[in-house]
Amino acid sequence: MARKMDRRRFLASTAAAGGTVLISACGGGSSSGGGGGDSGAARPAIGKEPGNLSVYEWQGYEAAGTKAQTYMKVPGKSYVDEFGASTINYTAFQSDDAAVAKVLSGAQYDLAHPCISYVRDWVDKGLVQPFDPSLLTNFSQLDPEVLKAGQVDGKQYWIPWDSGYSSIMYRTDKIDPADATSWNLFWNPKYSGKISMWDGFTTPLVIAGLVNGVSNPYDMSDSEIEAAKQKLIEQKQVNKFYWKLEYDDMQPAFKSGDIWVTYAWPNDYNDMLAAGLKTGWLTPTEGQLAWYCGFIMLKSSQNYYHCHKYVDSFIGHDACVDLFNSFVYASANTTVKKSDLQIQGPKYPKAYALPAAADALRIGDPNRLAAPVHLEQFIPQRAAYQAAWEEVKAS
Amino acid sequence: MNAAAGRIARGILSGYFLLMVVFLYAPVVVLVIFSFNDNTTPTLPLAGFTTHWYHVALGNDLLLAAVKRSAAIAALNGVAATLLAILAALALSAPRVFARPAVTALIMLPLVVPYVVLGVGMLVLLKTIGLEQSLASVLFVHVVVSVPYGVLVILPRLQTLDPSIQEAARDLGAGEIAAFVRVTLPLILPAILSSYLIAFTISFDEYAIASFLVPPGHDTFPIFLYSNARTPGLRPQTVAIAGLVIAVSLTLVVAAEIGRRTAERRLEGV
Amino acid sequence: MSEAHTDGRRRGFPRRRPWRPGRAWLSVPVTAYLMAGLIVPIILIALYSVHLLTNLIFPPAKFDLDTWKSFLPYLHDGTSVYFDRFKTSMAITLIVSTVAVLAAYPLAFYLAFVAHRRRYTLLLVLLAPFFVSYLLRVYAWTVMLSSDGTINSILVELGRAKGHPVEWLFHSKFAIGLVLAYSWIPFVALPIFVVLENLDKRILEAAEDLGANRFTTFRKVTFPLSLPGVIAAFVFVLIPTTGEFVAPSLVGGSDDSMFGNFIQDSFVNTTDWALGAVMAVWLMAIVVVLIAVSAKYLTADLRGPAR
Repeated sequence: MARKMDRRRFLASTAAAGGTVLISACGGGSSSGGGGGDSGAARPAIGKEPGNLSVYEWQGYEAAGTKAQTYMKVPGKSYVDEFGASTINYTAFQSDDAAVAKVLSGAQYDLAHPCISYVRDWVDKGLVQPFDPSLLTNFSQLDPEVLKAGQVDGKQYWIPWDSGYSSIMYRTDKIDPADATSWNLFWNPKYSGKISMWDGFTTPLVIAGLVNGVSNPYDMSDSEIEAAKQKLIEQKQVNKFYWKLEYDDMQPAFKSGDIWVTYAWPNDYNDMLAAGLKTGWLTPTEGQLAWYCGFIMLKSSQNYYHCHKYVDSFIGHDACVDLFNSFVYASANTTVKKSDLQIQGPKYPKAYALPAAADALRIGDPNRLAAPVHLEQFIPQRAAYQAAWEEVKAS
Repeated sequence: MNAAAGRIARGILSGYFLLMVVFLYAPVVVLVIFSFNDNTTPTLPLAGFTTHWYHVALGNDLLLAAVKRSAAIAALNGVAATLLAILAALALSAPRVFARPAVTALIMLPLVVPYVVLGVGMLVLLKTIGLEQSLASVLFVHVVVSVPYGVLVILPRLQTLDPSIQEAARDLGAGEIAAFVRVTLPLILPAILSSYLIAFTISFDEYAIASFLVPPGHDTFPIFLYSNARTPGLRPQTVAIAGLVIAVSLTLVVAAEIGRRTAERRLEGV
Repeated sequence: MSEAHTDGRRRGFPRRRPWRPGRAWLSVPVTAYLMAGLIVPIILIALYSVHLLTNLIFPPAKFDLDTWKSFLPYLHDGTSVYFDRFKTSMAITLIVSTVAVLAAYPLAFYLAFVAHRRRYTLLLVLLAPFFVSYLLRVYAWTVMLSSDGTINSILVELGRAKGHPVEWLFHSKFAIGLVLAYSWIPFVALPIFVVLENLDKRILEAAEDLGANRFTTFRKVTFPLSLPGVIAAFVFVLIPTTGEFVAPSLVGGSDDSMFGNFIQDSFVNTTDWALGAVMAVWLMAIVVVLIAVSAKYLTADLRGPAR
């Protein structure tokens, strides 16, 4: 039993590494229907598909009109109107790494919502099938530069949607402005015990790499990884705790004054300003990190056309405007301009987004990804990064 | 009657018991107080009384469905795990058991296996034999992890039973099964009840295993609780649900006590 | 002395081997069930630990002991951070277990000997808060312990912590110990209570009749007879706590991750399960040894001659 499984896994993985040719050969042997590949002829029409979508999502991003969605009004709405809220099942995941690991261990879904640096992980492990952009009416509105990150061998495996920056959020009434210029703030002994790094698997290594001045923090050599690891072990001395859950441990700790300096996203900045805290958003000299997350279609999905309709209902102009209004996130849709958004002021006195947080997101700014910003990328040495981070925590 | 403790010792013990009850209830009581607090963050000073969070929680179908699912799995788990635990305890209390240390180790093993290992291992197993994730698979593994607790509670009780009582039943002509049902079973009933309650609680509360085996769209309560990482403002609702769970369990406690007293009175009346 | 007592009670009955309801074959269903639900999944995980199963694309699955070698410090030069973590976690676990048993014993004693008819009610009172989700209870402690939490607010109000909240309360080893002990005390009280409650009260009366004072009776009779329950209780806490990960991750600080956290992380957050599998198998092996050692207490015949 174990032997057979090894063989199958081995075949699947070499196939994935070698490209898509072997995948279809392999798929022909083990499963009947049209697996990956482009053979559209064998694919059943939308009316013949099972139609019950199973979506592996971050909690909070469910389609508008489903019971789970209590904030957003537009994203997903057109799909729900057409097919009904009860045809979608959601399962929540807490991290990209967890999502890949769980699907690898056998969990099955139609769609998932990973972030930009993980696209290649899904593709390389042979877990996904490509989208057909011609089936997405809003595809042409998406940022071509970001779309590139979702392409492998000319096929579009990932459709970007939500976006934001990652940087340091800090208390302006506690931190000397002279200290708030660089990612180095995480290492500043003056604020020992008031600092919280994200328990972010590979992200702390990227940050340490930036501080160490490596040429590409997403593709560090073994010695650079080791140096970043040592840097983070040093950081541990001043770190109060590694936060795991944005709303459950990081935000409460920041609000209560347990921490003054933390890794965060602009929506957190918005929440803390709204809570009346004197809060700053750092633009480090080494550059902020920029991220996009988006949709992938799992290889086991029998709902090819439903998946396209679902994704399309999220990436349109109105959906992306509502994404900002509900959560203070940017998006991959280039048609969204700052004037479309509801930002608190005379025009929208009750809006969720505050001007400072909206500015931090730089929506509509054509240079929002320009240097020194680092757009997140695939990390070829992900396992080594993960292992180094675990060792930091264990040291 | 008071061979075990004198008046002073009894006083000290009562005081200690009271203190521990305060310690055990304090966080829960604080949680309940904040569930009525008109503020999204649980900090002092209190902002004012509201039942808003309860209305929101009771109107949240997903949350309620998750609670119901967990309660159903937990109830079934209590029955299945306790039955297996009774059999296991009876087996281990036999004078001679084939490979007793091995059997004991096997039964106690689930206590030590990190739950995540069982969750992942079962998911890999399901995939190998071509099955999908299901609530049944969650229940299946919950029984595995609950059995040792049942045995740990029932076995010591069996071993402290006075054999002469059972011998007497046998001497009076009762068959083996009749002697067990009429004599042994009532004597170990408190342990069986404890075992059921523990198994229920373990399952109702279990996150790591369920996180791997719950099928899409069928969250159990702990999964629901832990997965609201990205939704602001959900906390007060879940706190309200906690308040309700506490109320239900305390009601059960009172009901159990009334039932016991009634039964006792009836027995005395005979 | 107890012999005379027993003989008196037994007069008139023929002596024979005590009858017990147990039958060894009753272990068949539970053994079969655990084989399917426990042993098979464990074997699959063990295969990951020696790279016979893998999630990685490269290298492909092939028998390999490298991960074992890097984990066990005896098999290579230098240190193993994970093995050091294992040792500190065991130390924390031992402390928590000891504290929980010491705190729970008087509770069990109270229930068994002082509470009389209310004992089951009071036992349920002890257990009732534990129907609330563990996650929520840990969350409740974060509400109590944080800088603007309930305890600090009260301390500030009392003037004990002027302007400076007590920070070691939260994200610290203290917090982990507190939450774990808190969680286990009622469950620990249970097995001790069960044993104490079933003690033959006449033995205690006999001791008193023979002139022993209550403390001597406790020391020489009650406590030794309750030892199986105490040991069961100790094992009860010790074993699950070795795999604990929720409390360290929610109330611990940067340096307070326990062994269970690394096992959890390995399976949940990383794609290479080999190290997690090694640590899981190691933990299971250690605890199996612990159980094997304590098995004779767990199944000891209380009626046998005093040791």
